[in-house]
Amino acid sequence: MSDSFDKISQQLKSRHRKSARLKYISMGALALAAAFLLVFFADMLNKGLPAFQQALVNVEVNYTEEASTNGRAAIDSEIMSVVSRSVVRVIPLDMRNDPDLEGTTENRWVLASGEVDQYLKGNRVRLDDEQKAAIDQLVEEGQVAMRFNTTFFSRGDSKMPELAGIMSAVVGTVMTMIVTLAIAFPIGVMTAVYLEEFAPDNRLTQLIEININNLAAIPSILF
Amino acid sequence: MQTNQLFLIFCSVLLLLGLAAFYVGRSKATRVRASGTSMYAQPDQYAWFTVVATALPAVLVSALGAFIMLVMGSEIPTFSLLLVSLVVAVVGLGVGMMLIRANFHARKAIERVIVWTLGGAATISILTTLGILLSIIGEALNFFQMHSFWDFITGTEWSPGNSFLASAGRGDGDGAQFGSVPLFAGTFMITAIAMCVAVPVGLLSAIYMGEYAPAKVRGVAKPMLEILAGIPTVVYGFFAAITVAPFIVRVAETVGLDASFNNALSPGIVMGIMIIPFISSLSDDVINAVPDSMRQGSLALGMTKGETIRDVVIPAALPGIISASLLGMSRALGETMIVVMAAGMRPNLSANPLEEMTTVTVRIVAAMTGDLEFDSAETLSAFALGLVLFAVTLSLNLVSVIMIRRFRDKYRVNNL
Amino acid sequence: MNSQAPVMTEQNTPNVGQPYTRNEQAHHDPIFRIRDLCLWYGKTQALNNLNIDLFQKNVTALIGPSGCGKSTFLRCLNRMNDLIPSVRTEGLVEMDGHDVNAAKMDEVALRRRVGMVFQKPNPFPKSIFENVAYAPRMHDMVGRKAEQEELVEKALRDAGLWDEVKDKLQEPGTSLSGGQQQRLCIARAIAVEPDVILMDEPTSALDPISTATIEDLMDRLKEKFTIVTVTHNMQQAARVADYTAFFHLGEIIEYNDTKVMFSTPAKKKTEDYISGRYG
Repeated sequence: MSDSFDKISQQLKSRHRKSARLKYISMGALALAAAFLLVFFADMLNKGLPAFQQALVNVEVNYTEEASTNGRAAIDSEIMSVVSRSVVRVIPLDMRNDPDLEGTTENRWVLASGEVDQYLKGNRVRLDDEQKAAIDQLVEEGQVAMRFNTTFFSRGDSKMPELAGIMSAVVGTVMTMIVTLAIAFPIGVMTAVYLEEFAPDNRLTQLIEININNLAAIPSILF
Repeated sequence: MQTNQLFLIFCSVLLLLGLAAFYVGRSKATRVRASGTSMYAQPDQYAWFTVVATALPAVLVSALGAFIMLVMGSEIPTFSLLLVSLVVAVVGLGVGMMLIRANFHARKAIERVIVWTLGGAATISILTTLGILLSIIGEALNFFQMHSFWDFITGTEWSPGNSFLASAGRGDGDGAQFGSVPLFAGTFMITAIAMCVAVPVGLLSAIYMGEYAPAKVRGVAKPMLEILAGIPTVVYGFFAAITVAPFIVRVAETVGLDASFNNALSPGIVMGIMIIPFISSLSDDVINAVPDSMRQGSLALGMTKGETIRDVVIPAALPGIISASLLGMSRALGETMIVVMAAGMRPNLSANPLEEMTTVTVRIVAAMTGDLEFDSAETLSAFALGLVLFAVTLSLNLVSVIMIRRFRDKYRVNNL
Repeated sequence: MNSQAPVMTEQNTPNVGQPYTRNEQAHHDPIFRIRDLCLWYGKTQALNNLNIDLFQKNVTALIGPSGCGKSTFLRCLNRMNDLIPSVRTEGLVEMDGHDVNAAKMDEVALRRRVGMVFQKPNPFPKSIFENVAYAPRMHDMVGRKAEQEELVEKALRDAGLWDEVKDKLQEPGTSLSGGQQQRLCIARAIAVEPDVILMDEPTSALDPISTATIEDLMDRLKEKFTIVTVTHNMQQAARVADYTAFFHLGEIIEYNDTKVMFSTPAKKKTEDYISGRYG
């Protein structure tokens, strides 16, 4: 009546191959999506991780009277080229907060300048070879080192790149989110309860449902 | 007195009134009950009813007053408004007390209030859409008074020219062209590239997860795709501008082609990656919705699994898949952040994805965040662009919702 | 039902797989030989040592109360149970001399020779023409358009559907009524020219007129195909089947000539079922 199993299996060979191809292509698509994700995260980590470290310089700080207005005066001018300009304000601020500091001297770690920081992270800088050699020397002596970047998390925007942080942005984001949640959550839940439990199946309800779908799809720029 | 102090006093008085209403209402209800008559609800529920009767009118009146002040611009002194609301509250209290009788369905009354509140929340979505529409249409109409609508839709040159000079009081803004075709061409080009990435990868991933993958793989793959959807678009834009664009430029160079750093390919590809989860999860849903009896019927005829998927399952799920793609497309059309960071600023009507070109959304951002006077044609053009964009995404969404609904109906009707 | 019918004694049991009584009008070349078939859904045993020979060009009915393994057994014959991951089988199912569960047996090839019609009609989301022509085209049975049209017409005629649909072959298969859809499914199963057609309660979802039409169909189809049908409807079995097997709790209690089974069943359990003492 019909063909034997052997004959049928013969014809099936190419069909089975094509069928397997679909399976492997679809598996490949999923793998491709996974690869995108991996590449993305690897790239982000690669570019972002160096920011968690910051170059610091160990200097001798003289809390003189002059230093209470111009922080630069507290530090030896030779090493000043390596130190961040932020000390101009940071040291007077410290002295205001703790008046006992005046007249004392101490060794402390201060922010290195942005150029030093970038040089030590391997990026392009506007330093000549002599300056680079000097920095290398300081690193070897242990006077310049990389530490965990707390400035990033504690300070807000700044003109000086080594002093910039995300704190102000984080605060802004959190406050926006609180307002957003306070509005979206109650209204959203109430709408859902209404649509599921109470709403009659009429035109108005359909209109509301279409509307909600549209709201989600409106380009954010229009909002 | 300052408004916030007034408001605080208003709230505390209202709170006290509400508290009073609760206890007074409950005591009256208990009294009525104790006198022997049976009531339709518990004393507590009567108490809550009284509270609602007190507070709700007050809130409504003050909200109405505030709304009128906002929309009409009329000045109602805050003090009198809040005083009136409090008076209304006291009246409400009295009315509520009177209504506490034996045959009063307090529960039903409260429930009706709740339903109306929930319904009100639901209509907020309509109000929001209306609000967006109104704010865009108003300014867009202003624009169309300055420049013809037809030229806007069909013109191929977008050079606002010296309209900024006109707004500064110099020159007369002549020669400014607002033909939006290059902008929409840029948008569509980038969207098309995104679709070319997202639809195959998304659909095939959905097929694999729905038909072939063992449960464990599916349990890992689905969340992974959700992660792709959760990455902020600003970070995607960063990725597109800093990593993908230079990579494309380098690849193009090795092949001998010339690519701009703001090429259209880079935001297109990254946008496609962002849309993959949309398409794959929606397709996954529709593929699962195809009844198993259809698959079994095909297999029982001696079809292989791949043939069954290709010739039976996918055609059955096709309306849903198309609808998912349309939704993904409308997402791509309206995407702002990725293109702002990675695409160019120059309107460019070109078929070459390696050139730099700008899109509608980038232009809107530039116009709204620029230094131009608000009334100038260039700024208002943003509204016109926004209106057209809104219309396009709205129609795409409508079409896709209708398709999905018809798809669902088709499979419910086939039951005998 | 004759309650004084003689009950078979141990010495009078037939050989393995053979019916108690032969139906002289029926054929007797076995196409399926089942020996000691057992099946488990996870830990629950659903089929317990089944032994039966199914003969060619007959209509064989499987009857019994709900949940007794009739459909499960039917699905063993074309390996549709493979689609359920928790299923495990032991024993021999032989079709045309080949072990159906052997590693070298391609289940896709098996299903080409053993077709199936389901309880609820499940036409494809294609036109009527395509529903019938799809599988034969994929199996390389027909090539050009003219050949396909010929094959579709023949299948639809054999299924008794041609006159009703010949003018609307391009309409979707789902636009037909329930009975018509089921005949379409039968037409599409016939078009592949299988050896055996398995029918899992094909008329239980249909109205009486469609049921009668399909029962006539079964009678005509058995000239070309072997038909094995599961049915809850004993009268249907009595009307159409040459041989009937009575299932109870995963075992075949009796396999007999239909007329004999319904008049003088060999086993008491069969008699109890037929006379309605339990359902």
